[in-house]
Amino acid sequence: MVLGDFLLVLCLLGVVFSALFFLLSSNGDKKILSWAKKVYYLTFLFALLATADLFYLFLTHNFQTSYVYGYSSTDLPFFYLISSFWAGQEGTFLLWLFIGLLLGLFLIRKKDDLLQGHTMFFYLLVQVFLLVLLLKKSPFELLADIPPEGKGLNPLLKDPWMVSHPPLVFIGYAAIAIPFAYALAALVKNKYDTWIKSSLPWVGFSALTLGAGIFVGGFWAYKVLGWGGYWGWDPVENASLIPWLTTVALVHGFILEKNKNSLRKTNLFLAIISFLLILYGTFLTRSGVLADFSVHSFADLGLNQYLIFFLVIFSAFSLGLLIYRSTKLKSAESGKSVLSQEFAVLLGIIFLSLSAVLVLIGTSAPIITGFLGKASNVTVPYYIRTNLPIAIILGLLLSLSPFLPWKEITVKELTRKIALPLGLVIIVSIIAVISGVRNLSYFLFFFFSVFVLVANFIVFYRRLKGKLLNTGGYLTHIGIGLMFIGILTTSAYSRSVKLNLPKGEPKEAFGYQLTFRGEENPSSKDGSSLLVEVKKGKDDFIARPRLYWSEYSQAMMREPSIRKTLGEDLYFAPMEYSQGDFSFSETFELAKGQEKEVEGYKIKFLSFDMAPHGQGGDMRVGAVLEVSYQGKKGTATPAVVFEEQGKIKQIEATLPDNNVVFLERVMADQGMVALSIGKKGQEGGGETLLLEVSKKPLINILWLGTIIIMVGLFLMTWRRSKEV
Amino acid sequence: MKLKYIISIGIILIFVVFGALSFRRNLTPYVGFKEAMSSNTSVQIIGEVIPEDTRYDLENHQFYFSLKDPKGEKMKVVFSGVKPANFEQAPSVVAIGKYQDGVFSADQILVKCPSKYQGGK
Repeated sequence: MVLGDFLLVLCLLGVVFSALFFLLSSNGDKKILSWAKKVYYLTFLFALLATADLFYLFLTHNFQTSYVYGYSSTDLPFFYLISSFWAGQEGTFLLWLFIGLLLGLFLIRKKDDLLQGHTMFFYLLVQVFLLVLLLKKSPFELLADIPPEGKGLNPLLKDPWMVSHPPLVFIGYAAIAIPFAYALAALVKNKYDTWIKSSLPWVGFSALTLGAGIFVGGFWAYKVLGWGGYWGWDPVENASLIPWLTTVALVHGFILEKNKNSLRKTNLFLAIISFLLILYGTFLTRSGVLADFSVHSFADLGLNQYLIFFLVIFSAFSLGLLIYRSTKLKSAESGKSVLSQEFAVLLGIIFLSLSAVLVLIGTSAPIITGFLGKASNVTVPYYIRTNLPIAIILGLLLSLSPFLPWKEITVKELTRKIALPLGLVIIVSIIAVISGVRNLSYFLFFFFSVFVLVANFIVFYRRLKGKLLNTGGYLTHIGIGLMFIGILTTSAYSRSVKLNLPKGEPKEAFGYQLTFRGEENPSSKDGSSLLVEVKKGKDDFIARPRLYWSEYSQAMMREPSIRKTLGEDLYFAPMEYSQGDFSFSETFELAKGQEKEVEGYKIKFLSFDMAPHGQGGDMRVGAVLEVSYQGKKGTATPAVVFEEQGKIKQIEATLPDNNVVFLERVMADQGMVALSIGKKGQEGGGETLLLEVSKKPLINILWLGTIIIMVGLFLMTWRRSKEV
Repeated sequence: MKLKYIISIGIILIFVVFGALSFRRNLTPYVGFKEAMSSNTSVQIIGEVIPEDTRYDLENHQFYFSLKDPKGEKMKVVFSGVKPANFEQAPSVVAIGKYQDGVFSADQILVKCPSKYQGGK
């Protein structure tokens, strides 16, 4: 057994024993409790060492470790070697476990917590789940032999945003288990007065980190994937959105219960379901059940039965316990008035939950319909159609709630309070209609988004004189208003055109003159940028979208180029690049060491290049050529790839002056190769770039909104953690 | 008290019905080529790409290709979006859309490539 696996086994033993000790300590036995804590510290140490071990294997390029081989290579910079850690499933489970145990350190430091024994017991059960998956599918698994080089990192993941996205999401996932554990502890102990206070900061913390993860993921998608959007309602995205929505609902439920003692059952349910939804999302995206319905879902690692087993066990136990207790669970009746903060928050919880349910049903559509007959998926309009009205209503609630007192308000009083902001909003909305907002639901969405912004800003400004710490909620809602506005403008009012750009021929789009100038550095290995000159009056710049072949993904990658200005983004996405047709020279044969002059090139065949390359059973044969052209010497290595399926692929090599050389035949037994030279057509070689140019108005407002939401959630979490 | 309950339950009911209707309307079942031709709603078809039939119409920005099902039947597909990244390498391709005037007009194409986020063994 390798060191890493050994550490994981020790970790599992530690988790099990400290869980049992914590359980035994729950009747107040101080001695067992201190034992439980000691074992916990030891367990954390094992997890820390296992994590450090995997990092070490990555940094030392230990390619015998299958996981290191599969996700890294020697040419990766330090930064991306670190992020290779979470490039695959096994590593993300280890990261999740490590963060989980790290957060647990904060939980056990708490003194005089009646629920601590049970909470830690349930919390550690969650870590057992992760450890079982890790031992079943270990990141430390060894290969039979040692490959000389790793496969490298998926080029899509070579991005600073992608380095931080997975850790953020997994901090959120790990933290959601805390309110879950507290809820179960409260149910088992049948004591409900402290769990809210203890877990409120953690709920805020998961909303913050998971939210940040979602936003960073969106920003990455926009910047790297090149389809022009930031959110695609893909199962992988939805899997983190759904628990985020319920967690946000839970934040509001907690605040109601703290102030009003109502919603006890709802909060227990939301705390439990948020965690179960994480498990369910993990199952959806990691089991391969959606493989036919998503481009992104992870492949099946054979963990299905484990994932289902834990999902069923956790659901049955936690929901069963809640139902068992629910008959005797009493909470205060909520107030009578409809026009009150209390009711607005309640409605907010209902609508956030509704949104979660609708997204959940959509994401699970293939499974649900699979039971009834033909497995079917829902299309993106389903999500938009169902969530737009919810967003509008949430906008209405968020606009009014800053002016609503907890208890009750008369219509007259409320009208007086909202008159000023409403007037402002109406003026802005009139401007919006003049500038082209015609669709009714878009108008309503815009109207209330601006209302949210103005209303919360007014109250935020007034409260600022008190304590900044108490303004987290208003700040978050200001951010929501901004984000909603940005979502509307960038989706409904984004415009785009597709342009066919032959090299050197200027075309117009959005008042800009675009000219394709060819590839920046055609022989570059990583694929070169395509240069597009963009001009509008004095504004003159070069856009550099990229289209390149990824050896790792065996796919063409397209990377957009984005021109940012304060008001909008210009988004250049390459769609197709045709290098024009080649005219071929006659095929000519060369023996090793022989030299011939063809089309002005002196070509000498040096040797075969049989370096292992490409995927699995593919075989690649290259011919190393020495090329002299106009007195300059260089080498070129055209190749043929014999693919497993029996297909043969030619990989040409670039020659000076933009021509290429193809390897036509290999006669290994005679040490000979047959080659041909491909020449580009005349005038720019017929090179054409198909480019999509889009305008994304006010996208910076969207990003600004997400940042403000994060700041607001941070303040809220900070404040609540001081109250514990 | 009553009014609040009525409002809350009313909202939930409205959304349940609304959600169910949208769900049904936007559901796209996987069907065979024959069924796709006779269907009036959006469906998903899956098949192997016939490499020779793939072409990009640069003038109209349309991408044409053909799919072959296990029985060897062919279906012409037209797509006006971007050709998916690993189209050429994909063992099979899913097209979501409607059959109109002799071609399957796709709104979305999914390329089946399990190795996308998983490095393989």
